[in-house]
Amino acid sequence: MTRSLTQLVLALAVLTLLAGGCGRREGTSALFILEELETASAVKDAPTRVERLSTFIGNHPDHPYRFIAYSRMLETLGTEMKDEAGMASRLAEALATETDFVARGELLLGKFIYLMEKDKSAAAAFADSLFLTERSPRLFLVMGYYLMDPKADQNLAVKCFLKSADFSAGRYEKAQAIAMAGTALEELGKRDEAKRYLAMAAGNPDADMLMGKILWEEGKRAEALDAYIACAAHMPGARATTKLDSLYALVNPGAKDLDETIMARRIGDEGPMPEGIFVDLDGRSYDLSKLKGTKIVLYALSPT
Amino acid sequence: MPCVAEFPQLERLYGREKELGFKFLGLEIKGLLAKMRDVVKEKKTTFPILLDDRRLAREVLQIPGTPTTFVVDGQGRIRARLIGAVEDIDETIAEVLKRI
Repeated sequence: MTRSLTQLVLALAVLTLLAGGCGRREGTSALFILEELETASAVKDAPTRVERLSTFIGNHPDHPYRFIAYSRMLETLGTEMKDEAGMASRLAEALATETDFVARGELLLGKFIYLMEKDKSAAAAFADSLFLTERSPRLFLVMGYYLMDPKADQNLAVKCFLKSADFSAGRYEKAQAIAMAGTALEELGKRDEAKRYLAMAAGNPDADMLMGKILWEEGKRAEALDAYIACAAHMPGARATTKLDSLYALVNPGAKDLDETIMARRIGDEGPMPEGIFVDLDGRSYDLSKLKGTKIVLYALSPT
Repeated sequence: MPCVAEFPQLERLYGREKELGFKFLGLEIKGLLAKMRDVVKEKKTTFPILLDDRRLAREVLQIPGTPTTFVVDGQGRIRARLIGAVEDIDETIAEVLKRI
């Protein structure tokens, strides 16, 4: 029995070394880390789950999956255990050691979402208190989405979106935040201001869709169609929701070039695809740099 | 579940890898391993689904939500970004692939 166990341990050690030697180690360990997180998250007993998630964070203090562990830990404490004191204490403990602004944003978002479900005014006050200390674009963007609820604080939502845009490093992220500021302003009835922000975010499908709607209402049909076409180029499903085909036929009777017009706007050059080694659900590694010379379709998804 | 709803079309597109000369890769971005595996089993999915353990989608590619599709040419450049679900996603992507 002992001998078999020793052989098994040796075999596993050899397999681990082989995996490393074949350049699969990085990817395989990512799968192991996620398996560890999933095991901790699946613990039925809530207090034990919190401890397991906390241990996971301690074991992987620099790994991006700690962001998920944080949100699951806070959700368990707040929503399931109704332990506000425990949540506050875990949050304070984590914030004291977490210097990564993105990770801090995820932590604070957990508390904000909890407050939003419980007391919208308290959530708004909490969001307002973060303006001077935090700089996570995603934190402010997501808080903005929640605060757009008419029962929350739409003016604060605008402020959040603009803060998110200030902190966004990438143009797509920035455009999304500005588009949402325009959307919130339109909901507040501030159309001129809304249009100014939507124009700044042109190329973002949300901005283009709302701009198209506004321009159509104002009778500027050609400009509206242009905005709808820009939207459908990057958000193909918008072609149906905006009724683009019938509007296009109305403005351009007999025209048959809509497909081609959309396609011409769809294809561009965003720059190089980031490289890196990734692992799939079965532990197989994929080195994106080795796929040069091959066209790739990368489909970012979630199972929920 | 807009992403999962597109799985049959994506599976069909994956079946055209050789014909259209491309590589299809899914990228799970929320770290929901167990749920993802359940969906793969239920939908009999065969295309590879990578785990985003470095926040590629959120921080580098800056996706606003899922699904978001990137079409990359043979020189490694992103030539199209398609946001949201659409009924004929396989045909939409195939058309882009033919033109890049």
